[in-house]
Amino acid sequence: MLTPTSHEDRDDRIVEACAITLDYGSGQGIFDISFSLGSGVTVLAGNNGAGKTTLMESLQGLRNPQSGSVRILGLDTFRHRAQLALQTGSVLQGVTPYPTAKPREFLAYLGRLYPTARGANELMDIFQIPDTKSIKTLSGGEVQRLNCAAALVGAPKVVFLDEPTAGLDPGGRADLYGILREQALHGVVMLITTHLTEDIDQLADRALVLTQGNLTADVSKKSLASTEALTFKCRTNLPTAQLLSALPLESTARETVKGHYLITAQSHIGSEVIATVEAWCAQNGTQPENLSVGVETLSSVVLSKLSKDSSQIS
Amino acid sequence: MNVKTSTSFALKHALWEFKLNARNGEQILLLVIIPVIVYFALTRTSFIGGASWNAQNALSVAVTIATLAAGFTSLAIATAFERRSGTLLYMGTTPVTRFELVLGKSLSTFLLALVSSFALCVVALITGWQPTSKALLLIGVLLVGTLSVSGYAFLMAGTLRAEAVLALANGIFVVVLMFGGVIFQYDGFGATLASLFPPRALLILNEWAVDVASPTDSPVWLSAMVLISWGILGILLASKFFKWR
Repeated sequence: MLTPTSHEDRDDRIVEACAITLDYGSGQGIFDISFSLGSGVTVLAGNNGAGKTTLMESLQGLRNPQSGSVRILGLDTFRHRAQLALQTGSVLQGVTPYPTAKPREFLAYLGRLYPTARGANELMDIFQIPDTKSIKTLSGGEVQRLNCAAALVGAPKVVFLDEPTAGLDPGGRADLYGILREQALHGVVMLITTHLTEDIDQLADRALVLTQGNLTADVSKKSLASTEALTFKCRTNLPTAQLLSALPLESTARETVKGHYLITAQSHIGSEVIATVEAWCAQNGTQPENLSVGVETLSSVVLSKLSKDSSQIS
Repeated sequence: MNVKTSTSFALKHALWEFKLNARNGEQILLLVIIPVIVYFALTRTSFIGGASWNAQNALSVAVTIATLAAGFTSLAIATAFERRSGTLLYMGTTPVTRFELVLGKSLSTFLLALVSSFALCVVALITGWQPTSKALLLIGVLLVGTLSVSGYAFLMAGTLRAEAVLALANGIFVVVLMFGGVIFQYDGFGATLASLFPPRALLILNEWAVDVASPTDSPVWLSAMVLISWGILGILLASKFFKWR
């Protein structure tokens, strides 16, 4: 279990999950998950079947965990579901409600359920949704944008978006991310699930990684800002522990995907580290290629965790 | 639970669903066109009973069919497909509670039955029905009639696959029309037995409200009790077994 991150003020604990477990048996479910969320965009990443949807639905009170608790704005999410629904918005994976309704009238209907609602016309414009005869005639991308617009109708403080970009092409995803990031600037807490690691850097400030129902990483861009990274390619399955022992303290060394290695360090990665890597490769009868130094990114951290998860499964 | 807020959400949801249903071609077929066809078949032909029926009798049968179609068949099918598509689960993320959602859906069904029955009354008026003030009681009968079967619609929709509900709800509807003592009437024990079930009990109340010349001799209060009892049982069963996903 990861210890909940320490926080300076209440705004960082708008959503609080404390040791939640929902065990479906045979290793499926979510186990002892704790974290808290403040404003900004957080990505919940994980391979298929990692438990992302179960966790998202548990956070929203749609599933009742066997143990642990979830509080949003200080209220228990399961006991005060309807009350909290006034302050939260949601996209459920693969769900398009009321396909025979017109997009504008659907947003207008939802708006009538909230004391402070955003106008259907405003949201149609922001999310570039065409006013068609029915939702079922919209394209996949337009439906996803409509679902996101619906999640924001009630001017929520917290938004849960479960795979909102599923089935979208890269251009469609970039457009939607741009809109969502803009909305997040208004202080909204957004938790978004995805299994597309390449999108994480442009979308999120923070990433949580679920591995087989366990929270295995909780990293923020802020925490990575001081971490330098060296990436290179060479033969797969080299002994990274051997390399690590030769690197400065607080460094990490791992093979992210087959033949791709990542070294991180809290200090500047200079010529000595590169020389250490080259010596290590030579010692193992190979040579590093495409050596590149930069700041470690959310996506590289997530990718390394997810590829480790996949290799454990296989 | 805040009664005012719950009523408000239930009404908003009822109007929303009514709006969607009212422009659905299949719903219009089921709730208006079929009952109107039955009305004309009864009043203009002698296929059933050996002679054409008078407007009152035909109207009470047609209104019964429309109410059962709205309160049971249509509600069961729509709810089952909403459950399959995740719409019911999605509504769980909005401020509408499950109770308000069920109440809203039931009210929407009642509104559909009301509009459909109103259309039938207009047709009956044009073709010779001369109503008394008692006809206004049809509104109350429709409400009780809708609620008497809506619990079973929720029970089916919340426990079976959508395709099974589609087949079963339509099948039950046809069986009820044929053998429920609505179109084809029974004598003696058959009539007594049929009057203990919602379709026949509803027909008896409708006959009373539209003032048929020779009503069934079963007491109206007994039919009302039959509908209320079935209604309560259906709601209890549905609340115990209904699954939202």
